[in-house]
Amino acid sequence: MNVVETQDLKKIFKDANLEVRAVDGVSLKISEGEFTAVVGPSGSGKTTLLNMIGGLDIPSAGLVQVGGEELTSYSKNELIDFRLKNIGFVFQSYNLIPVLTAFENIEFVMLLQGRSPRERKERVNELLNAVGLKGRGGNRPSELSGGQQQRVAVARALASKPKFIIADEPTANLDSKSAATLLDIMQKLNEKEGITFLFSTHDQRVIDRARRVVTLTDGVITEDKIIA
Amino acid sequence: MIAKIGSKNVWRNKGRSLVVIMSVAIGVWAGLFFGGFQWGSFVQKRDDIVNRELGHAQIHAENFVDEEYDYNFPVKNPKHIRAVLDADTSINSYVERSVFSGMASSVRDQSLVLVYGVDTAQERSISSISSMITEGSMPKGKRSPSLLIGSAIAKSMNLKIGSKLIIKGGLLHGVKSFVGKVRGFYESPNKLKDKLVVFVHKSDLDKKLKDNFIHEYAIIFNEFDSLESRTALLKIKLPNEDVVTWGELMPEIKDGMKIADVVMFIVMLIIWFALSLGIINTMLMSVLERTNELGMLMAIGMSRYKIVSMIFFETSLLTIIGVPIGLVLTMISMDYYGEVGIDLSIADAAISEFGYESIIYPKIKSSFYFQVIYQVVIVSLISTVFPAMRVLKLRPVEAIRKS
Repeated sequence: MNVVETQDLKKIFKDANLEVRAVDGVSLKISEGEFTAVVGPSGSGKTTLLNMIGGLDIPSAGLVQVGGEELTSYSKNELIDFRLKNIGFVFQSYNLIPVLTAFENIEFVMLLQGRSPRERKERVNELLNAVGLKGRGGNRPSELSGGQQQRVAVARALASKPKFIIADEPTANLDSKSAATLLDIMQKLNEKEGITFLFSTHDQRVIDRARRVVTLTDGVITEDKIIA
Repeated sequence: MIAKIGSKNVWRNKGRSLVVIMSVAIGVWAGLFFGGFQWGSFVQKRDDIVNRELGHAQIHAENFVDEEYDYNFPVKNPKHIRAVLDADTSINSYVERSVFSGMASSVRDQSLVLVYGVDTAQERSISSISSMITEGSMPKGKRSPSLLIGSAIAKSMNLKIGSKLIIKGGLLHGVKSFVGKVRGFYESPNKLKDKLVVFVHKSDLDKKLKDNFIHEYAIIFNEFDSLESRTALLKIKLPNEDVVTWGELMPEIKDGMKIADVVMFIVMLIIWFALSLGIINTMLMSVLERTNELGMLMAIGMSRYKIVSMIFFETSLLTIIGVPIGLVLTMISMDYYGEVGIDLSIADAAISEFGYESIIYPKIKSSFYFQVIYQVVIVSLISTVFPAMRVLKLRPVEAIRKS
């Protein structure tokens, strides 16, 4: 079953006489349980493509379907609600809420979803365990290393039990050891729990772990390789 | 959730939050203190005039005021008035005065005056003339009536104790005159009065003018608050006389008290305007600093409504902390200055010209507190609209890109 499907997706930025085709007719299908990396040089359109798939950006043309639902017809508020229920995000610079603890950061999405305190507590502890941060729930982001913060971000992305997770350059700010740990965790979650991951990256360490690599050049898919 | 994250956000930048809290507190204090100062000065002026001069209400002959306090317009039936006043249990005390406008002439100079023929024993129930005497005294006259004159008149006419004055009254409808001897000077907080009023014993006056005219009854009721209704009843009982409240005699003071609320509102508007600029600036900085974070919150599914609510909550929290601090500051300063007063003697001359005392004792109506609290809530909410609008315009994809 396809979790994500795009058809002739385009994003064109216009500035005076200049027209930039950031994404230029991308058709892509991501199946449930995939561990896919979108790669390409800077400016190739990776982040723009992921933003449109995640409902953060509106396409200039084409269609985006997530879990069978057409996102391009949604209003801004409907998109926010859709993201809350269906998509988890991991950002390059972690983007945790600095005034909340790791536990509270992970819990936050479930609070937005209106989950019960008991359910929240159980789920957060389970996720802290899954990302190897058991016992660090009371720490604020400033008290955690970059790698640990990114693991909290992964746990937060998983907290709402989304259909898939979009990770935009998740290892870009991490040292090798932290990057490896993070990738181990994500790979494990993918293999054991079947969670779908979609990365944008030019980090070879991520590419090496991916089971599918989609290469974008100037907004166009130039290669789509399944790795056995 | 909004309260939890909002309350934590407030303390991210403690210095900035404290600036807003103190701005709110000082705004509340400044507004209330100004209101208290203004209200206190009006109440003081009112009490001074009511207690030292007018009483709560007065009775005159119908044409007396229109005829510019002419001697020839005494009340027509003093016996009847006395009977009505004696029978009225709501009246605490009253005095009978002979009051008329006149011209005082010395050897060298002359001046317009308002002669008050008083019974000093009776007057004690309303005014305390003796407490105002700065030099000499006011003994009953043997041959010529003793005059107690304002120090301002004495100065302008170059009079000394023992100086003689010819006073003519009834200038419009038949002159009556007498010669009096200056026996004392007085000073009241009201410089206008000091320039105009000459006190004389009524019995001396009656003897000299061979009349027993009563031009004015000054009445003190048992309760100040019921004077309007009590005066209205007296009007019914004395249809042929002019019965007026102190407010009708001195409308500028009464109206001044009425507009105190309006002035207070205008001053508060200015204070709130300055405060709102501070809040807008602070909250805008707070929002702009968190653009990336707010974008992330939208990205992970926090609705715009909730984010805007969080911003409003943060402002409200700062205000909720600032208001009680302002109220406590107000209570402390009102307690202190209500007791010792605010000494404005540096501007004594100018203040006295308007009939105010140089020491003002601020006083606050309880309605001022409610007025300030609801205003500060409205101001803080309105001030948050602009920063909140910036949040509403945020696009998560752009906000996150700014990281």
